[in-house]
Order: sequence, then structure tokens, then C-alpha cells
Amino acid sequence: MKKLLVIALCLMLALPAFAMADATPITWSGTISVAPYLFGPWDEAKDIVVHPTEQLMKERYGLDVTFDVVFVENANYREIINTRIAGGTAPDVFIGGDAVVLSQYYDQGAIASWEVDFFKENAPATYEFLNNGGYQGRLKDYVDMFWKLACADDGKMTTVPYFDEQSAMPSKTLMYREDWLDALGVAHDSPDVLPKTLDDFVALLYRFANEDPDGNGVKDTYGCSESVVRAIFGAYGSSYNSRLWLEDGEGGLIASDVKESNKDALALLKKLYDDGVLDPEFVTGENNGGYWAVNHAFINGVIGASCHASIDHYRRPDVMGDNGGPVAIEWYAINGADSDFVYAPWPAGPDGEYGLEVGYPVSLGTGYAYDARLNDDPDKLAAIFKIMDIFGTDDEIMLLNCWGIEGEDYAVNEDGSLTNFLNTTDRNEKGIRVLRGLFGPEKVNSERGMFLDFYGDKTIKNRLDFFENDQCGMYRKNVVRGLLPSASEYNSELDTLRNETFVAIITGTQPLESYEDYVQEWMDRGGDILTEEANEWYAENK
Amino acid sequence: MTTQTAGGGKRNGFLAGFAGYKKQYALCLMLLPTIVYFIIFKYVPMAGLMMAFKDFKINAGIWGSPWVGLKHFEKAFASRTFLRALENTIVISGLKILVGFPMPIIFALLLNEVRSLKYKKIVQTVSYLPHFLSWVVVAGLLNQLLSPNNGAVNYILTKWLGFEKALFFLGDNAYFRGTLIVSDIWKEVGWGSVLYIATISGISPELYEAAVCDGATRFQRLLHVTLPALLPTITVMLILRVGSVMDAGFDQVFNLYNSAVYKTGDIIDTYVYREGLGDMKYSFSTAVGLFKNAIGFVLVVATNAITKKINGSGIW
Amino acid sequence: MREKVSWADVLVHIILTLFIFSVVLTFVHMLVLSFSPGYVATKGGLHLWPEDPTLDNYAKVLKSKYIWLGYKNTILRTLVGTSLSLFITAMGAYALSKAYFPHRAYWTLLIVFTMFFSGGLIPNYLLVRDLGLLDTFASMILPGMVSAYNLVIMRNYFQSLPEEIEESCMIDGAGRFRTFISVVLPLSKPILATVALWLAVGHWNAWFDVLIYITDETRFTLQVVLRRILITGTQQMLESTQVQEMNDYLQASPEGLKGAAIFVATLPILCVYPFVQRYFVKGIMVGSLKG
Repeated sequence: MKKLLVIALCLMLALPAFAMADATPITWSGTISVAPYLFGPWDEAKDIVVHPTEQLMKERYGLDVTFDVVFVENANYREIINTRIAGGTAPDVFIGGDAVVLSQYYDQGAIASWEVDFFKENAPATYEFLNNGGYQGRLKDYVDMFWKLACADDGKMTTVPYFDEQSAMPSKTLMYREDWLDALGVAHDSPDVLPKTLDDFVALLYRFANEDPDGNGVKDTYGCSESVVRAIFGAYGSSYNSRLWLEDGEGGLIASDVKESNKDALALLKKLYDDGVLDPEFVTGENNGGYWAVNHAFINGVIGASCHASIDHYRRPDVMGDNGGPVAIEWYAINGADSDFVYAPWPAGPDGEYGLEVGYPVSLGTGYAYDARLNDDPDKLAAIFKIMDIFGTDDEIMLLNCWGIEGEDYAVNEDGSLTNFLNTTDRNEKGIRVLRGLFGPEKVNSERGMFLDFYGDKTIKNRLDFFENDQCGMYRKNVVRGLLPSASEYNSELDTLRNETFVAIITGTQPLESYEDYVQEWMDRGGDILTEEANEWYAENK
Repeated sequence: MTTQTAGGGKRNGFLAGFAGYKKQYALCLMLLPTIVYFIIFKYVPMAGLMMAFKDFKINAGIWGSPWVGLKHFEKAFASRTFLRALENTIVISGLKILVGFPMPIIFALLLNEVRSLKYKKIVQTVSYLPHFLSWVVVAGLLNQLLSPNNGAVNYILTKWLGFEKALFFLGDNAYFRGTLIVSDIWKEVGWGSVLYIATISGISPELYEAAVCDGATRFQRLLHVTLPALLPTITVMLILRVGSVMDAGFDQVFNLYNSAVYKTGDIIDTYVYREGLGDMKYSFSTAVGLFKNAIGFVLVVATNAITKKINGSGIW
Repeated sequence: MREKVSWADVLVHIILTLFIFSVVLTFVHMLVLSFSPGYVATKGGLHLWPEDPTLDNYAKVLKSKYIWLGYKNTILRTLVGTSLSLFITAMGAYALSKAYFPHRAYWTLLIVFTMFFSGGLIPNYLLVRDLGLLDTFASMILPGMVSAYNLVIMRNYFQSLPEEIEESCMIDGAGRFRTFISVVLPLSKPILATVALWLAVGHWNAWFDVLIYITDETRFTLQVVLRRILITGTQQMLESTQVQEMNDYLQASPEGLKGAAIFVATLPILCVYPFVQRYFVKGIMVGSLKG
């Protein structure tokens, strides 16, 4: 009896050892090189983040690995990486970018591929998390889409995407200048009393242009500029500067470039342009250089309505306990601390459509891909995925890599979320997150990782709260998910044609009647092939 | 003074030339490093031009990639946007040569007429500063300056000169090319005049004194002393400039253009950029590059022949 | 003998002054912005006096220890690259300037041909790789060592030198090379200065070749370091984001930071021109024709 107890005791003590040994018997050792987008001289980070991580990996998992972070300049990333790939000197893990580039890389044999089972075997926790629909299974309906995005046509994986609810949320917000609303006597105590239909909205724009809201006796104001052009196209169920494949009401798909309703949108915009309500500088956009989200025309009182940026850019001070969003700070600096901007609902068009387009909650992120030479080194590739799993499951390693040192760089709150002490610049200089690419596509694919990064984050809560009150339901989504076969062939040419024609019609360089000719031209230049492919996709994937 | 000319018939001359190597061995040695450099760093990689006729695949390399003949060229010429870009490139470049090429020369001549040495130096030093600004910066400044809403230029036009409507320089096809040319001149005239200033400084003052003795006015001195001395330099620069006619200035156009002015402003390089050339479409970009350069080379050969007929001298 | 001031004089001065004025205004505007916080640039308009002066932009740019490494690498590269290129190009240009050089036209054509036809980025990268020059100082100097353009222009200048000068030297027993060094080069100061200026500016401003060939961060040149700093100042703004925004970063950096970076990068090389001007001295040929 005593013997049995001893044996039982031994087994119990040994169990954790089994668990650890079971976790990852990694025999591979060596160097893994990765080239993420780098935003600071990360050299100092070697000691703060990278070496400690290597140490922990060794102690806990018996993994003898060195991480080599390679600097590839962000602005010329594509060209530099391509040259290195051609020369055989590319890092093991690099950025693929978007689906188009990834598929091109795969066709050219530049990146590695592997079976889904291989991934499952080496990163079981991550696999399970993803296959169950991400955080708390919220996105179960999109799991199929996830795997489609991750794999090439032949069913092998080429990258590891992630679930991103942010991609499915509206990224722009419509706003008015408060001082102009006051000057015109327009009430704005709640979004409900602001214009909700296109006609009311346009009427307000006319008032902005004609009734001298800045009170200087000169007619130097406009109603709106480029961003609202997009909102107006949205009100007609279409898009101004991107291609959406939408249901045409007859069981097929049509490109937003050539919808009938575009003509109405163009007619309205032409009228606004001719009547001096639409700023003629809309062709160059509302931003005059510098940070893209700053809509100079709006801040400097040239126009009264804009949806150029989001409520994160225009976050008011104290919502998050800071000075406000980056563009809001500029707003107050220029217009005074007493001035303000008003969030507004989207105007709905004749068919009740409104808003801009959104995406799906599955994202490639930066689209990390693995160099083709890893096809010949399955042990190394396996090690990379095992490491990915470690990042997801080992709390300490994840926190070190994504947040820094506890107490110094962040503090843990009661509900488990974190308060970050560092701003982004400091974070970059310390090299935090410098190993992204190894723990997945920018975010860690695990419950805890997604909670810390997204769901527990106050900004997200703020955004979600805001959208409760906004008309959120009717944003347009591209029905076709994924790439059409001939997309890279014709996309750029058709985009040029569309952008040019729309601008020409609005400014009057081309007559409104030329729209039908444009549609024909669009078809001739490859649009018909794309439409065919889109409908084929639709038939298969309905 | 002995000059050895390339003998009687052409064939004779070419073969006879070989004897010269021994005779001029010092000169040959002096040329050697240059030739070695060109062979290694220019001619060896030139084999890569073949990519223009292939479908480049990374894992096959340059040699293993499949041959597709003229497919890329056909694709380019089938695109209406490309053809339009080609036209724009030639027109914009042509205008830049016609209007822009003489500017640094005129600038150097004007400077030469300035008598105060101090003022001359100041002007010289300040004039070449814009060359050091990237087009990203200059475009930002131009956007503000030329804005139809509150830009300084339009302010002057409407308030002081009585124009009815503001001119949208960067958004109107009628003015875009002109804007490109004028801004390019502003940016490069100082830098481009350095060579001419240097050449003028090498003119012997005795020639000027002789002209003055003959009663020449300032303008006549310019015409008969300065200009002829500059002529060889101008010729060479012109030939070389013509060779780059297919390069209309990507940096400038890219930072200044928008969809309202594609019609007159879209050049080959911006078109190629939009086609996603950062991705792996190397063959296509090599093909377009080859086409551009072939045209440039043909033009140089032609210009060279013409100047030889007129002047007696060319580049070769 | 002083000539009267004519209307031509006045006109010339007006034109030149207007031009200078526009350049000076531009630079003052940028200088002022470099000493101003971000929102001042957002306001738009011409800024000729700082209204909210700050040293923040310069602090951001200069505090990185890599800046000083960058200066060192750039200065080294410029000095070595310019002198080497100048010397080799001058020798080659001199040789080809002699009408009796064997097959002169063919050699010239061989060189000029390369101005137009080039294999492109990837073949050049492969060459540098195969020569074992990746990540070395030599990769910044050798691939661009002789510019056909510079060579043609220098050759053109040498052709304009009178043959008699060299003749007299060689009759006295000096070799070809000796003549080149002691007679030809001193007479060629204007062109040497000009080409040296071009080469120096080229090396000083170069960044793309560094990005392609160099991976060791301690070898980065000034321009590359500055570009990195510009993006450091902007990442917080690129947070939310789509990949395409990354590619626009140079446009994205705050105007003030851009201005500071420009001045830090360009000031040194701007100071070179005044030195070079000394060589554009009139009368360099005086006295050389005697006898």
C-alpha cells in the first residue's frame, strides 16, 4: 500500500514534466531571420526583447534559436525584398503584403507552402483557436473564408491570416464644423436632428456654401470636398474610388464602376460643382501633405462637412484619458480649444442606401510569407510554427514581446487588460513587437493575445460604443471574396479609366451623356472578362 | 605635331588602328580601368535585358524562365493608356528640352554680365539650392502656392491682375504641362548652369579685350566670344539630353499629378508604376524600359550625326 | 574703363533678383517650419517667422546615435568615391580625347551605349552578390564608379585644350602620364571642380544603393538613417493600418520633421559649392600660351 502511494506520488510529480516534454520536443536549432516593418532603430531592443526571449525559449522549451531582425526600408520594401528574393538572400520570414502579391509570389515560386495538417501538427493551439472562429468563437461563420484566404489555389497554406473585426467596421465618420452649424442656426444636440436623407444633406451643403457661415463677408466657403463625394456615391449604393462587386438584382453580380445609379450620383455632383458647393480642389483631395488623415480643407474652414477620417483620428480629449486623437489635437490647436466638430449620421439616398464600404473580419494583416527555401527545410518551418504557438500560449513571452516589461512599460488592470505607459515612438525605440512576423500576422492568434490587443482595449470599446448609435447596418461589402483570376491583369487600367471619367464628368470636361460610352469602354478594356469571372465565382460560392 | 588619322579606306583604317595600341600604350593604360569597369559592371549585367522577352520566374532565374518573345511589348502597345502615356512623355519631354534646355545657358550668360563679383557669387550659390529639394517637398509647396482657393499665385492673378476665375494649375489639363515645365526650370536652372559657368570661366580674357578693341558692344561680345566658346559644351549636352527624352521626370509627375490630369500628364513611368510594378512583373517593366532606352539611343545616334554634319563634331 | 549702367544691366538684375527671392523665400519657409510644431504646417500659408518656436524636430533628428555614424559613413563614402571616380574618369577621358587614339570612335560608342542599355536592378544585384561585395564599403563605390556622362563631358573639355602645351612638355622628355598630371590637370581645374561637385553630391545624396546592398546597420549612410527617423516620427500615425499607407510614409511625415531632416542632411554639402566656386576663376588659360 505504501508502495502504491509512493508510485502515485511520483507519477503526480512527474506529470508536469510529461506535459512540458509533450509540449514541444524541438530538435532543430539555428537562426531565423525576419523582416517586419520597422519603425525605429531597434538595435537597443536586442537586449530588452530579443535576447531575453531567446533565453526563455531555451530554458522552457529547450529551443536553441537566435532571432535575426533584418532591416528593410518600409517605403521601398517591395522592391528591396524582390531583389533579395531573386538573389537568394531574402530573410526567412518577410512581408507578402496583399493577396495579389502573395499569389504572384506563389506562382513564381518565391514563397513556401505547406499542408494545413502540417500547421495543425506544429501549432496545435493556434490552429484550434483559428478553426473555432477566433476570440470566443465570435467569428465562426468566417472560418471557411479564413482558410480560403490562407491557402493558395492548390489548397496549401502560404500565410497565416488573423481574425480582425476592425476590418468589418466602418473606418470613416462624417462630421460637420460646429461653428458653422451654430452660425446657420442648425440644431445639433443629438445625431437624430441632423440631416439623414440625401436631400436634407445637400440642402445643408448649399447653406454652407452660400450663407457665409464663417461670417467674413466673402464668399469663400464650400459645402464639401472629396470625402463627401465618396459618401454621395455611397448614398447611391456604389463606390467612388474602388471596385465592389454587388448583386445586380437579377441573380448576378455587377461592378460598382458601371452601376446605373452612378449616373445619378454624377449628375448631383456635377450640379454641386457648377453651383460652387463642391470645392474644385476635390481632385487633389482634402489633405495637403503630411499625415494622410489630416483633412486640411475641413480644419482650415474651407469646407463644412467631411468624412475623410475616423473617430479615432478625431477622438475628443478625455475619452481615453489623453489629449485626443492625432487629428483632433491639430483641430483644437488651430481652431481653438472652444471649437468643436460634430459627428453626424450618413445621408441616405433614394434607395435607402448610405455609408461607405467595409471589409470582412478576416485579414491578412501584413501578409507574412516564408521564403521558398523553407520548402526544403521542413524542420525549420516546423520550428517556426512551434514558436508561433509558444508566443500564443506562453503568457510571459507574449507580454514581453508585445508590451515590454511589467511595471515599467505597462500595468495589468483588474479585468486582465493592460494599461500601456509608452507611446508608440518609445515602444518602437525599445523594440517592442520587433519580432512580429514570428508570432503571426501582427497580432497574436490566441484568446489572451486578442483580448489584450483588441477586445480588452479601450479604444475599441470606444469605437464599438460609438457605432451603437450610428446607422451601422447598411455598409456595402464586396460580394466577391478573394481574387479574381484576371484581377492583376486589368485592375489598374480599369481603375485609371474610372477615376478619370468620374472626375471629368463632375468637372464638366466630359458631358454627363458620355457615361454610357464610358461603360462600353470599361467593358472593352477587360471589364467584361472580370464581370464574367465574378459571376462564375458567384455561381460557385452562393 | 603628328596626328594619326584613320587611313585610307574604312577597313584599312580599322585594322591599321591596332598598330596604335603599342604606340600609345601609356594612353591605353590610362583607359584600361575605365574599360574594365564598363565591361564588368555594365556589360555583364546587360544579359538581364533578356528578361524583356521572357516571363521571369524567380525559381527559374533569368536563364530558366520561359521565352515569350514580344508578348510584353504587344501588351503595352495594346493598352490605350500606355499609348497615351507615350504621347505625353514625348510631348512633355520635348517641351522640357525646347524651353528648359536653353535656360541654364541663358542663366549662365546673364550671370556673366553681372559685374559685381559679390552679387554674382550670392546668386550662384542661392540658385542651385532648389536642386537639393526632393520633389516630395517641392510638390507640397506647389500645392499650396497654386491652390485655386487661397494660393498666392491665384491671389495675384485675381486680385491684382484682374483674372475672372482662379486657374487650377494642378487640376486642369490646360495648365498642367506648363506647370510641370516651369517648376522644373525653377528647380534645376541653377544646378544645370554650373558646367556652363565653369566653361565660361575658362575663356581667355584676351579674347574679350580684342573684341572690345574692335568696337564690339556687350551683346556682340556675348554673341561672338562667349557663345562660340560654349558651343562644344552645348552640343554635347544637347546630344546627351536628347538621349533621355523618354524620361519625362517620374518623381515630379508622380508627386504632382492626379486623375483629373491623367489625360495630359500621365507619363510612361507613372503608368508603369500604377500597373503594380513593385510586384513581380519584372519582365514587363524591363520590356518597357528597353523600349524607352532603344528610342533614346536611336535619337542620340541621329542627333550625333546631325551635329557632326553641322558642326563637324559630335560625341563620336 | 567703367561702362555706363544700361537698361540691360537693370533688366538682368531684376530677373536674377526675382529668381533669388523666390528661392530664398522657399528656404526660409522651410527653415521656419522646421522650428515649428506640426499644427503650424497644417494651417497652411507662407511662414516667414516662427510663431511657436520649438527645437523638437531637430531633437528628434539629432538624438539618434545613428546620425553620427551616418555622417561618418557618408563623409567617408563621398571622399573616397569622389576622388577615385574623378581620377579614373579623368584618365579615361584624357585618353579618349586624343584624336589619334586607336579605334577612338568605337571605344566611345562602347561607353556611351551603356548609358542607354542596362540590365536592370536584379542582374546588377546578382553581379554584386557574385563578386562578394554585398554588405561592403566597396559596394557603395564600385558599381557606379565611372559615369559615361561625366566621361563624355570631361573628354569634351580636354579636347578643347591646345595641343601645343602638352607637346612642349613631352618634347622635354616627360612621359604621357607625367604630362597629364603636371600640365593637363592644372589647366583643367574648372572641369575637375565641376565633375567633382557632381560626384560628391551624388554620393552624399545616395540612398537607394545602400538599401539594396547593405544590411549591416552600422554601415548606413546619412540619408538612410534620416529616412528611418522620418518614419519613426510617423508610425504612431500609421498605427491603424492598411499596407498602402506604409508606402506613403515620406509624404506622411510632419512637415516640420521633414524640414529638420532636410537641413541636417543638406547643409554640409551646400557648403561645398562656395569652395568649388574658387576654381571657376577667369584667366586660367592666361600665360599658358606663351612661346
